[in-house]
Amino acid sequence: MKEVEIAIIGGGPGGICAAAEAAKCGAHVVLLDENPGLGGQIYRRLPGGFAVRDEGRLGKDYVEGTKLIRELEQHKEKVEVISGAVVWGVFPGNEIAFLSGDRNERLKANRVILAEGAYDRPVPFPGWTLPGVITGGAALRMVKAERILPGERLLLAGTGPLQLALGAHLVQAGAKVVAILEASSRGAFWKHLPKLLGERGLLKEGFNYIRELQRAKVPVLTGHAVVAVQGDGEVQRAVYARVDNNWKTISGTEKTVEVDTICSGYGLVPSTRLSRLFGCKHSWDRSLGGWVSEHDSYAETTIQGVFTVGECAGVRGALVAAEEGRLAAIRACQQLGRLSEDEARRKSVSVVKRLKKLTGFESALGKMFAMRSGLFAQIPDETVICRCEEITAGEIRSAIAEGLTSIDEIKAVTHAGMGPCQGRICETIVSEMVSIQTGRPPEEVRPHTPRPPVKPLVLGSFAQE
Amino acid sequence: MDRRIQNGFERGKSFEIEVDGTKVKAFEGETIAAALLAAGKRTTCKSNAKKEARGLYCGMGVCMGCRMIVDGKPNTLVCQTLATPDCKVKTQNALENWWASK
Repeated sequence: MKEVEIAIIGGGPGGICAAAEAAKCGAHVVLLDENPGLGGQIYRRLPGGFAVRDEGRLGKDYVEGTKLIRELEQHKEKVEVISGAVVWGVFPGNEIAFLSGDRNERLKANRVILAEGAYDRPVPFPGWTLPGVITGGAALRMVKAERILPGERLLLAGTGPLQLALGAHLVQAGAKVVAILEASSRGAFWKHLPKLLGERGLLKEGFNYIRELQRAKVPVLTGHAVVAVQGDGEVQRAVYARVDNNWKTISGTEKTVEVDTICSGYGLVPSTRLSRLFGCKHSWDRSLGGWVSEHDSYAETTIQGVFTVGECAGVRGALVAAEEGRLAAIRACQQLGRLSEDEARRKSVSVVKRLKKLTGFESALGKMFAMRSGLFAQIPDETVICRCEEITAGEIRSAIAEGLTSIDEIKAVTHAGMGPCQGRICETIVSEMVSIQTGRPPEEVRPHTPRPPVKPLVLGSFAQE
Repeated sequence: MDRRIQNGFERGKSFEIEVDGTKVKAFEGETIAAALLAAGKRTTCKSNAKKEARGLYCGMGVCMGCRMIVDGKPNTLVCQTLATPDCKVKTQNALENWWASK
């Protein structure tokens, strides 16, 4: 089996910076990434054959992504990047099993840096399984990276400033955005927005988005959320309404609009499948997106030699991810004897400084746009919660009523979370439902215990191992 | 229908892929999911139990909603798979055409 000094899982900003920094310290690194190319979700590249006349058009994120990937390319001889590598298990002794194409491969790493990232928070409503309901992240990817409009008449529903960016990109590209529904109240949203954008250095970009939306006469409706989506085999209409401070629908305020696409953008959920497989201790923090792996100030988890960086350690944005990646790499290199204690300290001073400045602000952002329970309390019994096994809200509620209160128990009895996505989509929803029905705070709802394989495998892949 | 955004960019080589027996245009470097969306095709599979239409949801390989049969291989996530000239893509009809696709 191949042995490496450091394995990094995830090719977004955290993983890229960890790899570049480790290489600079002289370590040999393997970077495993699921996607066809580096960049993660935020810095996703344009398709291979594209020619861009002016990179400035692509926005700040794209330029930043290019910078980081170029930095990594300077260390080619030290870093092996394996794209399209789906990690499905970790085993004692830091053995990492992954699928690369049809082949099953394994490697053993002295140190592991997890940069698993995050995904869009799933929020169910009647009709959310219809083709045409996509996440805000999926829509952004299509419009920004693949340069394709996901629909012609779109309704954006969710929370946070990312919706404004998505809306602006869509109208710029010629789509009709019927409205942007922001669940937070008017006061909370508009009051904090300029401050948030300003501290991220996005003030100019943010105001351009707002101007673009105003020019296209796209209404931004604060205190509104989507109630249901209807259509014959595909999205044709959406019902939306005003919501109260807990994001519960105020009945009698429903309106119906003809749309072909809904973009659902309620913030992000940290991906913690691999840190859980490693047995790291996790704790719950709503402002960070839910369950995250506990770690020290060098991003090292409760399992020695395993680090967690970026969104999987708490949703705080790409800039934090990049700095955390560097810090983890410096620490890992020190542990491996590639750096003396003095060198490590010297190298990490400026990183820690930048990180400190960023994290205070990013967690404030998390609190401002944190989910409220009203949306989950009102899901009708017949709505599917587990999209894979097609388990409804009613079935889950009966299981809770029978006294089952952990995700694993509910999974065993209802099969919610047993399908190909392995609970990634329904886990957070079921957890909110348990919390609402039992009155327990979400941190007391025991999360799911993942087991390998955490991603679907083809049996034949073992034959080639 | 072509929902590709045109301004400011030049795409690479174009070619055709076959989707349920119909030719669909794709460009070098595009995912199959993107080529399908550009052509307005949104149903990728029927759900296993209730046989309801499903399509792209998360767009990043998490939800497994965009499962299709690609060159005979079922459960291929088209949001993570690049289109290649003449690849054959089929709507995955729950578990029915799973074995038939072999």
